[in-house]
Amino acid sequence: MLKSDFIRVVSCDMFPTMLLALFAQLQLPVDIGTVLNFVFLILFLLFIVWGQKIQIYILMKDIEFVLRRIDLMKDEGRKISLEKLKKYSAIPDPSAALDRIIDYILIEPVSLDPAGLVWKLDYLLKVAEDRVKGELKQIVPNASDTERENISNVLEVAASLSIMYRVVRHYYIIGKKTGNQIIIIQLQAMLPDVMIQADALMGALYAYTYGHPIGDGTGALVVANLGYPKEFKDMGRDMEVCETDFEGRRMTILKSKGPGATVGYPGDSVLDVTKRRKYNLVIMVDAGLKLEGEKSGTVFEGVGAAIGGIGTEKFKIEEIVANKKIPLYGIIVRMSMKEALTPLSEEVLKGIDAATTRVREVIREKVPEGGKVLIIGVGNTVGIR
Amino acid sequence: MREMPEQNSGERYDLNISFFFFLLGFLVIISLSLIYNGAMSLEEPYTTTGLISLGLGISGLLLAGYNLMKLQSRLAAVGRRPSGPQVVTKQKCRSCGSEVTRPFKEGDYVYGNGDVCTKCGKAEPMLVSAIFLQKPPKKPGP
Repeated sequence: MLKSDFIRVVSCDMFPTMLLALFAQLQLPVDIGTVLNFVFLILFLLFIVWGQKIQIYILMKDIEFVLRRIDLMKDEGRKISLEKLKKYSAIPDPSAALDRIIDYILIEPVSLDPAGLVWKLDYLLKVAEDRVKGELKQIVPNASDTERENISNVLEVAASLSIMYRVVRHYYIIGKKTGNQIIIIQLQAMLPDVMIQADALMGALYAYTYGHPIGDGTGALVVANLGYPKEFKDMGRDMEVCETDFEGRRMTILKSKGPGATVGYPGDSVLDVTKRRKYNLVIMVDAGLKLEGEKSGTVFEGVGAAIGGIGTEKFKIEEIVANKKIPLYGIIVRMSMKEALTPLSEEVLKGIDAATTRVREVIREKVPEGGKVLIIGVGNTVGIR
Repeated sequence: MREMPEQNSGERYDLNISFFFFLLGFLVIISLSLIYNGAMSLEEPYTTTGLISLGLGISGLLLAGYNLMKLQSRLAAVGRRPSGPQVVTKQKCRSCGSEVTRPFKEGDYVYGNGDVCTKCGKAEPMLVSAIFLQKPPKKPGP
């Protein structure tokens, strides 16, 4: 506590004594009840005039606590990124390069004329990825491809934490500057959600740093189970393919290239394989966010493209299956946002086994013997072959 | 309340809790006065007022204590550095099928090669069958 605070607290404690002295000087009847009545009257007036300000002050304190916590997380993200870069760096101090990469932004294409927007966005995403990969190749030439993919994802998480901190701080300062209660109340109401996201990002930071498989890699792990012991071969950009038989049916299995952290471009690979072969069924396996109260690791099914992200890959897959009239099924393993971004929990692991069994059942039910099925394992393949 | 740095993101700002202590001190004083008033009134014929004062005073003190504890835990949370998870690697021997779980080592990945099996002693490395978060062991009940 600062000296000024101590003085303030002491003066607060001395207030009733001063009142008693005042009452004695004015020769008023001095008893504790009268003093209390007087104090309550002052409090009543105080809360009428400044009640709202005091409430806002308490809300601002809540925001400050969260802001301080995200600040620590952001610093941890930067520290881990720097350590990771230094481990393989060709330059003694890569901090300037790190700050530059963390601040990279993707300028979204204009959407006034939406025709062809997805392809433009897809192109820009690839350019942005190439730029980061190119820079990393210069900064950490000694790192393996897997390590470089992991570093790239660590930087992405550090950038997300930095953006989160700056956005919360922006609204905090705006609220403080303008005294706008609506902004402050909205920001305070969003704090629990912000903290859940920040915690999940911290988990992802450690996972990418060490190469732990994460919940988002559920799809990749399910198809790796289906493909084992066959080897996957490289296919297109950051993707792998494996062909194997299952009870008289031909399975083409697609996943992003492991064990480095990448989600790949499944849309491009689907376009490629469907040009060469006609499929009876397409199955997509992915991790899905559960609602609060739902059990982690439960498997549910649907019809359509089970894939998240910005939407470009989903668009490509939907376009292809709709044109070729191939049924598209989705098998999803439920988990929380934190579980999706942190190392696999035992519940999610059980869900992966259940999803693998379910994919086999669906193939038996929906694909005739001699038929062909395309299975796409969606998600980040960090820590998975 | 201290000003937040607006331009330089490298700067820190401190958590100012003096006003909180000011309000808390005020609450404690009021509560003590109420308890005193209540205790004095208990001897008089109007005991209901005394009991209410006493109850309010004790509630005020409890509230102040609760808020202090809450503040302490929140301050501790702010300063606490996030720690990494406990991740384990499960390996399965390709020959004898025995399973071994050990702490995760950097470079492990699912369907990759693990350590050499100590049970059958074959040179072929075990298969990494899973990598997952291990739940902390439950504390024994009283």
